[in-house]
Amino acid sequence: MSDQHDRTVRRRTFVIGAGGAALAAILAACGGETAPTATPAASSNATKPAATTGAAASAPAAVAATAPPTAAPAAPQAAPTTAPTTAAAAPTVAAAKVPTGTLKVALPNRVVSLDPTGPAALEGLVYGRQIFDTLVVRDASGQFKPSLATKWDNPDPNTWVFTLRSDVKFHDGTALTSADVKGTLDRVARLKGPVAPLWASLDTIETPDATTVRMKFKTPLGTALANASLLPIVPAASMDKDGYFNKPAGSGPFKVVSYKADAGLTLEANAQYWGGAPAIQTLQFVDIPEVVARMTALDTGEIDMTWGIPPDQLPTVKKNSNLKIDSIPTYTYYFIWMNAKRAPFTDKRVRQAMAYAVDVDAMVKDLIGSIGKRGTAPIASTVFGYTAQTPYTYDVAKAKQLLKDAGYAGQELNLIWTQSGGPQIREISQALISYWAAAGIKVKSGESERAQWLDDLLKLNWDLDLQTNVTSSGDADYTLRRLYTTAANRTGYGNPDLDKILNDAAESVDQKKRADLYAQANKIIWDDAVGMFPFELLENYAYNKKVSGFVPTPDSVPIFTSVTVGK
Amino acid sequence: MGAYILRRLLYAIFVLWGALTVVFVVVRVVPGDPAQLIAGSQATAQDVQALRVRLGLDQPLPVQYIRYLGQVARLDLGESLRLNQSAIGAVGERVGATAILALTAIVIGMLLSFPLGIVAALRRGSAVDSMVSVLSLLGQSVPNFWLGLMFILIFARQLRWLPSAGIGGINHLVLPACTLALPLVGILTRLIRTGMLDVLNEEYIRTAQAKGLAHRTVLVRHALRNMLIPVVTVIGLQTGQLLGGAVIVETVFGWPGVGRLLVTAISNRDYPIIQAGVLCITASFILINLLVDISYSYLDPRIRYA
Amino acid sequence: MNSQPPGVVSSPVAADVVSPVAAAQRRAPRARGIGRQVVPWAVPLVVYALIALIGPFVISYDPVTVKTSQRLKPPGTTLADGAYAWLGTDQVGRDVLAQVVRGARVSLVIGLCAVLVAGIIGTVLGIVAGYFSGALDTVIMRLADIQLAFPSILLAILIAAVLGPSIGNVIITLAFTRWVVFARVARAATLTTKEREFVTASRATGATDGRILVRHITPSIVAPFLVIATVEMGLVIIAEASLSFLGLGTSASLPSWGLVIANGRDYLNTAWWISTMPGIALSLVVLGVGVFGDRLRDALDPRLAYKR
Repeated sequence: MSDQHDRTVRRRTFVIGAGGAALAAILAACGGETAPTATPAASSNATKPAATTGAAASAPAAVAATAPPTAAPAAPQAAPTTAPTTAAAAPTVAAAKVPTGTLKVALPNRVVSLDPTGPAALEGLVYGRQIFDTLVVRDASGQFKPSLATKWDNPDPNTWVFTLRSDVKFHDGTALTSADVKGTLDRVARLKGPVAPLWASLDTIETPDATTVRMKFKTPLGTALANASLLPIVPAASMDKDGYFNKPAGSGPFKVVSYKADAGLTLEANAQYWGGAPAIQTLQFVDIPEVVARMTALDTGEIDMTWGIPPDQLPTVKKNSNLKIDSIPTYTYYFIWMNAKRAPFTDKRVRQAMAYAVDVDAMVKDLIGSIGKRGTAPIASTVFGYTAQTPYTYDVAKAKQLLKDAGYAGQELNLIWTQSGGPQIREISQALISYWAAAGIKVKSGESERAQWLDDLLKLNWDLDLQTNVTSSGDADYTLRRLYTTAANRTGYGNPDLDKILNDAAESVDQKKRADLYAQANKIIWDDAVGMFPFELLENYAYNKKVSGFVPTPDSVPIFTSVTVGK
Repeated sequence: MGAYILRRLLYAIFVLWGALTVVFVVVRVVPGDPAQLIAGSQATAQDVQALRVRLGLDQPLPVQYIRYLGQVARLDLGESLRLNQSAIGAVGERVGATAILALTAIVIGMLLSFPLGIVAALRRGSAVDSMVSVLSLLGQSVPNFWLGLMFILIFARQLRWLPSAGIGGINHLVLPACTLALPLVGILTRLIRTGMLDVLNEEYIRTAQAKGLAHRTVLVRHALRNMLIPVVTVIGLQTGQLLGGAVIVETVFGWPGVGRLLVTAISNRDYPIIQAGVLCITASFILINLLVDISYSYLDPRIRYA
Repeated sequence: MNSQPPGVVSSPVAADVVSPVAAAQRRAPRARGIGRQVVPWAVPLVVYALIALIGPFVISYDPVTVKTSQRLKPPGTTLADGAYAWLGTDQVGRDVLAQVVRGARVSLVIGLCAVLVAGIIGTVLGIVAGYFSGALDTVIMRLADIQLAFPSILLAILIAAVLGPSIGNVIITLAFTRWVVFARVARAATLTTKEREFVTASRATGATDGRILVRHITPSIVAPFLVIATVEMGLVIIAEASLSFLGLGTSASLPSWGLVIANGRDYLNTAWWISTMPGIALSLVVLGVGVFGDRLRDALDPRLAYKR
């Protein structure tokens, strides 16, 4: 496939917007450049049941391609429904081709378990997405699309009802039913892993029949769909068996061939996948911890794809004519918190001075380069609920004045961070400390090992904290309410007005109203300088030119169903 | 001999217990809470406490310790807190990879150091001798992670002779094994040179030479054989160093061995894995050194064990 | 080779360790020759020590200020402010030469202190074990066995995690993992010395344990101690670099060579000098220490002092 084609594919994929629908996009693109584009619906539509009913697998392809915005949610991964030319050739266009080729991927970070409900749930989601399915998926434009659930409804604020596909089978041949959804959520609650807090308000789950799941929450949950997009459904019957997660049989597009925590994971195409078999036969994840080794492997063709590439490596990647790079904004952003319980940060002016003292634009230019841009809110601009704020422009004189007004006495402050806290974190911490020193603020670099850092962080045993954060669900609630309420007590900052706004936003199911509330919340957090939010990050996916049809995702958890590998 | 081995095994149990106790205490003194690490930064204090209870980490230390010793006595090393695997299974899976790496390194080390050491001894004081001694020292003087990364850049990136990382065929083994072998070459070469000089100086060699035996025959018959004992001894003692070096080499080359498992386990505070890994390494060390000692009596019939 | 004392770890410790012990007993008559043989080899080390002591005053290193616009400049670049970067600049625009010079001091301090602490603790324990024998000997040597069998780098990781990154803590960590060699050598030397005629004679004339320990035993330890200490010094400097690689080295405000090498490693293919320059410095020093140790051993052990 030519370069130009690739680009077309990517652009169209974004427009059509189905995370896993790139195959359809390829076909659409091949079918003719004039094919009408489906404009994404307003994000609020996605959660209204009315908007989703048309998305069942039976929807004629032509509708998806030409229909007005409200019909846009095409079945994700279900290639047939969006293919403009071969509607009659359903069920799956992809299945017409036998999966071929091998894609070798080196992840930027370590994944130690295949259990998407357990302790390593979030870091393991990239595996989970290939092996399992979620009830809904979120596409590149931020909308929720049907996956295991064909439709969903919100009959009252505390209740969510999902209707499941009836044709989904796990790799071992058993059918996926509502009992598995219930089993998965029960397991999440039992294991108390990192995704458990997302479902903390879940009260009961009813399964009136095999395709209906009725979730009752103690309080209204505006983020139910976002949470569901992070929850791979595992088979309730086998999930607690010894060793099940060493070779789990999921329902996803790929089946596990072998897995060894440090050596890697080998997957093969699930030819019977309900959404159409993936184009590649083998998908291999290898673990190469050292950056130089990983870049070498990419350079020599030992691996086909990697991401999480340090900015200084990108020019080298670009020089290699066999490689190409996809850049995409992510849900990830850098922040520096200032402990509002400790002097001098009890004074808002000192916190603001810290922000004025740093030349963020110079840091972006010199250190961040092509992996990020200036941050403009307490969340990334890709996230639902984002609103741009007035930047703190670099002004040392103003910073010094604010410090003087606040009576900062020159005490040394401790900045905690850990090596795995984000890309370029060492360089960023050094530059920040240098800038602060120039404004007369003494800051000590308190690097520590991750476990120790987390301990200190949660005990508020710091003056300043530097790290990145991912709004995994793509919804502001995930970040703002979790981190900035007085009850959360993560930054030492407390503000009853903010608490009320964030709780109201979480409990509202009116997306328009939620967006308004988050706009207020952003402004408070930003203007009160609870933290500094210097950068939001881009993800650079680098891959061999023989790979095509890849669709990057803002959550850095891509699905490889649409990828093809040439010679 | 039997009684000797029995006595050694008793000591071995004592040392294993000691090592286990040390690691048990140390990992729990280290700041950082496994339950908190699992639950993540968004969990509530109640969630974390519930998780602690589920993992048995809420008990007082002595209770945990006694419970753990009881488990170990039944050869049960517990379940990993993170891996969905028993600790013994996780360690067992990776022991092989580390053993292959270490053995290959030892073989490479011996293949290089014997010729170097012998030549240096025979030409003692010459330029060759000096060169060998500097070269062998150099092997010990370079931080091995730096060396490993340079190997990757030279042999994988520039020359494209070898793969850069991962486990696979024999070509995947070359770079990590050589990186691990180099410090060993330094130690062994110097040892062999010294030992060779010692032996060359001894009476019986002089006698043999006086009897008119050819130079090389003397070497092979007497010197080489006598040197095996110190060499074997040092290799036994170097097992610990090798495994330590393996931690670094495994990280650089993405080699799925015990070292990496342990480093990850330490950063995740995965107590059962750390304990099982330390137990496994300590046991290997003891076993190897027992074998080394037993081998003495075969290498040199003058050594007898009472 | 000796026959076996019981213990978990084999005892006919290789010539590497045994020879200085043997040397100790034959030391006296050769004392004058040692100077001539060894001193020239100490010159590189003295130069290194001088750089470590004086260098930072000549080439100043500011650990706080960075110049991100001047980052990753290759060796021999004239920077925007007119300064000449002999060894290039690092990932935040600091002069690599200044870091190498500053790191020399940090690495020297770590190497010396760790070896001294380990050496003193190990030697005292070794002498006590060897001289008093009995239960004390058993306890100390079994502790040494546990220490020896316990993977030392893992112990270092754990200790470093407890203590946190700082020079003092790195010294404690490394000393803690290295005392055994000293203890074993000191014990072996003590065992041989205490059975020698002049010691038994001294005891017969009513000398106290303290007097014997100070007058007879301790001098016999000095030579092997020096040899082992030089060997260990090199190992400690390397071990510190390994700790830095695993993220457990010194703090960023006082970077050792190991830390600079480790932090520059992600740039090895794009800006090789950040890691390589301090790497060369470190290797040269460890090499220098090693060569010196070799000469010292040869000088102290007449059996090995073949005309060179």
